Amino acid sequence: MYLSEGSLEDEIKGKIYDHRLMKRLLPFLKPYRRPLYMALALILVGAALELAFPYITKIAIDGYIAKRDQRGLLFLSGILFIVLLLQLVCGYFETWLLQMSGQKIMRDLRNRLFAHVQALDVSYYDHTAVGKIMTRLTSDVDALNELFTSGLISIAGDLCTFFGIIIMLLYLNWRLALVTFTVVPLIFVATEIFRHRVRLSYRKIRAAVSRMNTFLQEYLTGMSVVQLFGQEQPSFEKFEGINRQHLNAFQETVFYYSVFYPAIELVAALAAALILFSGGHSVIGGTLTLGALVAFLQYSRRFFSPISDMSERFNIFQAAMAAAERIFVVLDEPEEQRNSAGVLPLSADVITIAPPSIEFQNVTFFYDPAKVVLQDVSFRIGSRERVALIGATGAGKSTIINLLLRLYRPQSGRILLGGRDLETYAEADLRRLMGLVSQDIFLFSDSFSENVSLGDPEVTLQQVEESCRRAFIHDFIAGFPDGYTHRLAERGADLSQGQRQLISIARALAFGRPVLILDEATSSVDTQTERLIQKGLETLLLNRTALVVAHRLSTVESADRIIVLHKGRIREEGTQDQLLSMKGLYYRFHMLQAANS
Amino acid sequence: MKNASSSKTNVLTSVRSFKRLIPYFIRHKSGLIWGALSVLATAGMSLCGPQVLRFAIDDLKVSITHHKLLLYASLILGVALVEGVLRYFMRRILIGISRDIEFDLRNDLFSKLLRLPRPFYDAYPTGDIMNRCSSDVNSVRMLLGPGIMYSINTLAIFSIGIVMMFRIDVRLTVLSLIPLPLSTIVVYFFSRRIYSSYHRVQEYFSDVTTYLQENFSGVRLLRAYGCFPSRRSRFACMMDSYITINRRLIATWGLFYPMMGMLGGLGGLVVLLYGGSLVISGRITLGAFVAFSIYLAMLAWPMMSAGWVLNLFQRGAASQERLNVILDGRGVDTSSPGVVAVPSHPPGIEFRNLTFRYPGADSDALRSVSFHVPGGSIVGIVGRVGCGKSTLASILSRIYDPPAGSVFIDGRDITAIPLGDLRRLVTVVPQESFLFSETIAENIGMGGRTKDLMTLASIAGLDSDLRTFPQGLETLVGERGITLSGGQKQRVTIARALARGASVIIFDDSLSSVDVETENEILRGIQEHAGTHTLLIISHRISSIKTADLIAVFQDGELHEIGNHSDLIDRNGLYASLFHREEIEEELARL
Ligand SMILES: Nc1ncnc2c1ncn2[C@@H]1O[C@H](COP(=O)(O)OP(=O)(O)OP(=O)(O)O)[C@@H](O)[C@H]1O
Ligand SMILES: Nc1ncnc2c1ncn2[C@@H]1O[C@H](COP(=O)(O)OP(=O)(O)OP(=O)(O)O)[C@@H](O)[C@H]1O
Ligand SMILES: [Mg+2]
Repeated sequence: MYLSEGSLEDEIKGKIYDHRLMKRLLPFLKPYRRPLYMALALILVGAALELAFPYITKIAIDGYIAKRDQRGLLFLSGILFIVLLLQLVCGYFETWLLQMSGQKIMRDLRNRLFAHVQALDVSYYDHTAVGKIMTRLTSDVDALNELFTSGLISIAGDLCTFFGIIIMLLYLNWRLALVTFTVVPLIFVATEIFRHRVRLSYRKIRAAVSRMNTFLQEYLTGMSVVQLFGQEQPSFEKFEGINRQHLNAFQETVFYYSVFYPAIELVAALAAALILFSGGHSVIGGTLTLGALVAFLQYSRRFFSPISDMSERFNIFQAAMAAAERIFVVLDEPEEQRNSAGVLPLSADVITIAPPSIEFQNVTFFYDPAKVVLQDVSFRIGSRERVALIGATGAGKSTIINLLLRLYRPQSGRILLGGRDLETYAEADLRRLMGLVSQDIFLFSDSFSENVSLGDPEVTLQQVEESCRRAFIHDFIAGFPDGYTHRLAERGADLSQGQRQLISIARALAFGRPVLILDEATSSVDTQTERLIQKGLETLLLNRTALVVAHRLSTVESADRIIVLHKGRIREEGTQDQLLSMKGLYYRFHMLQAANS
Repeated sequence: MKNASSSKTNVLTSVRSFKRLIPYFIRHKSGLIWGALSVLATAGMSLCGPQVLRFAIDDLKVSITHHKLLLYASLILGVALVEGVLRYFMRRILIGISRDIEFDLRNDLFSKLLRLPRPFYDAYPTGDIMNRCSSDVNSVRMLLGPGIMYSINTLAIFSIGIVMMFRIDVRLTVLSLIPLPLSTIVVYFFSRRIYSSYHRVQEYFSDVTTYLQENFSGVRLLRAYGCFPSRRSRFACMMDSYITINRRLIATWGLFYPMMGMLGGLGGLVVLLYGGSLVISGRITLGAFVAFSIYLAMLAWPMMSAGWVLNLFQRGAASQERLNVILDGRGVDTSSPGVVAVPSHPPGIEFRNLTFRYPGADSDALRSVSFHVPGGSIVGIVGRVGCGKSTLASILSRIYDPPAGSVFIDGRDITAIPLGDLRRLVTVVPQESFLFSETIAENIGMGGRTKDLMTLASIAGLDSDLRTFPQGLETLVGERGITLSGGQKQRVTIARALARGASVIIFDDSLSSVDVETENEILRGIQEHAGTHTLLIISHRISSIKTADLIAVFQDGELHEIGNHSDLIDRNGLYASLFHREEIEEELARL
């Protein structure tokens, strides 16, 4: 449902030129307009130099060769040499300016995309495959770069050559020029048909590429599961299907190109035949010199190359417009919709004087309207209080944490932190308040210390080590020859699950935030280690507000209060004794666990 | 991790890396021959045009009849028509084949990837492998299609062109080709630089890709800790270095093409100066002069494209080498020939002095582990974090291969059992739940069974959750199962393993995210399998394995003690102390 909906977006129509999109792209070009204008100027000069060649030939044939003037020929060669040198210089600087600006534009675009995507609501990631986001930032941006470097500016050069040649032809002999121009409509018809066809296949190609990336990303990360369950053959078949779509889309374009290029050349030959035939008559009639005829033939060859080049650029335009459209779809995703007007500065007391309290007021929440996850949830956790949240699996415990972290927003009700509506916190302030050990452990392919500090410069190495000691993972890390600088494999795959969890505990400790949220923080840790960690936490938690989710009652025993969540509603709340005497859900949990041992 | 191919590759090794492509060529043999023939024919035809022009101009200079002019014009058109048809075939066949080979190559890559064992994935990050499958395959394809097409074309035009030019005037030809050796030097020098810069750009971009991917996958964590401002600036730094790395490539590129253009132009200069004087002195005709300059212009393009083609070859070689890392990887045969059928009785397992070290690690994860699991029994495995429990599970399912002669199932060495058969026999509920972004039904069905999934789901304690999902079993889960709760994910993986119908099932801490009530239910369901299945249950909670027939206690990679609950309690060793501690905790919790 979700993912398939997303992939439709990849099939968005790409136009050759879309005014709206171009207007939005221009701001990215703006900072580099000076080098770009310079490149443009160089291209125009280059195009003009290009036009000089046939004319020089004409002068040679009609002038010096006819007059048998050796010296004149030498002089002409000198001019040709200078033209060549100028072309070299122009060519070099043009490439340099264009490509460097292109790189910088890509950098800006990527930075912008990165900043935007990571500021999106977390729910965006629920239904968007990481592989797809990656495609936006990598190959789609590349496609745009092509537009800037080989597309836009070069098309100006092409146009310039095109019109330059028209002028030269008219100047040399307007009658012959008009004869030559009769083939131009043919070119335009051919190009138009081609463009239309290629556009369709381009759309398919983009969709296939994106689908392939997403597929690979997922199956490569889950390869062990594929292998364990003997799914090699079915997975291969799925891949082959996607690969075949990819192939078919490309084969279509191969066909169109194989027809189009020869067609253009044929038209060019038609023009040459016309020139020879009708120009030949003029030469016989004496209204045209032989040199002019030769120059005419040379010009007409060059006349068609910008046209076929331009059709090559359609490609680039096509791909770029499709890419731009998809990039803007991402950029148009609303960033976290917070009423920024209501953002209040963080008063110092929230952090220094007392850790903030937490309060949920009639919170109702659902990920999907068809299934309400939290219903009318209200509770309060005082400053420095430690509250345990328990409940059956799927009851909505992690969801409460997601809301508290403002990763999602409740559909109704309010959440207060330190007595203030959560919405009034600026992003950076809010993040300074809470530390988290989440149920889903995530580690980076980076060193141990980076994984604990997350690269935050405020977390010192000493803090990293200290918190690793508290999480009882220090000895293990110290056992590596390169200690804290030891680099982990992707997602920490070379650690045991428990070790990964200990690192994420160390991480939460290292940040030392006033509110600590532990979601099944010790589920993969043995009882002995858990015990030790809890002892270490005791002192730390004295001055913190803590929300602890756990299934093992032993984990929550030291909590000040316990909240029992059942099917998205709060069913019981109170100290352990109160709950036990209620003989309700908690009592049942308790008895069950007691019966086990 | 980074491959060894960096920058110093010479032509020889790059040629060698293409050996891998030979089978693909053979598969498309006849197509390639036809394609090559059409390239040759195209080149031949394209050289006829100037000849026609030459005669026409020479005739024009004297005098010409209307008919002859018409003949020349239609000859030009005729030649172009034939050339056009040939050109169509040339592109269609050769570029088409390159796409076909790309398709085959990518299929072969993925099929190999499906067979590469875990250690490979430990060594290469996902982003890196993805890059190989997309941009490296693409550079090889560029080499196969346009690369081959243009190189044949270049060679043909060049050789025929030179012959034609020689026939016009030998001295003129020699003189006008003087820039040629120069351009060879330029090409050689530049392509080496381009190759190495390009390589660096690719490598760096691989790192960028990996960085991006981790940041997006870990978005919840990074958001919660407010890490994004610093991540943004780190990314910006990476982008800046990327520009720096690209700078060299651009500078080289920027000089290369104009340089080649210049060298081509120098030939034209010679023609103008020397050829012109030849016409003046009457040694060649004006028509020959014009034809000669057209030929030279035609040669200038091959000269320039020689550089481009060379570049394609070098990129292609670099990429092919990166692909060979995958293609030459030692894959495992995962077919299931049915040599070892799933037995009717639950098989026994024996560990004999098993010592195992992860590839690249400095210490053993398991040391001299020996014990016997009778068929049909339930074995509990406990021990502290990182003591080697999951390693044992990975070895039994041969995600990592144990040394031969250390693990036996029903008396057979597991390294001698075909992998496909083994994995029908043994299945694991991995400690980390990984689900695919497909429906719950498809995820469970992965185990093999497609009917009666609801029964499996209810054994796994999933039925009550499924009832709350509007789409039930057909609910689509997000990537990695992100839209399910931790416990739900875990139970889907349990159901998936049960669907496998294997006779040995290993539960690797599979109830850690589940509440006590659900845990009890699941354990009850699982225990019903005992007798007909051999069950290994890894757990951190002694309460969940207390009733097992055999309990193995691990410490630091060694088997510390083994026995049933009461034996171990009597022994008063590690297990007993663990148990008492847990008991006391429960007591405390009850107070
Ligand atoms: N991102 C999401 N999109 C849609 N539904 C979700 C998402 N995350 C969780 N859910 C659903 O919301 C419900 C509550 O999930 P939650 O993760 O809060 O449970 P939990 O109490 O933490 O359970 P557990 O103990 O198993 O972790 C579950 O039914 C789950 O399927
Ligand atoms: N792929 C790997 N490469 C190198 N070392 C590894 C790899 N996987 C695990 N290890 C190391 O091997 C040891 C045993 O790990 P294992 O996963 O078997 O532990 P475990 O007993 O399952 O622990 P836990 O209770 O935390 O799941 C650990 O020290 C771990 O760091
Ligand atoms: Mg949860």
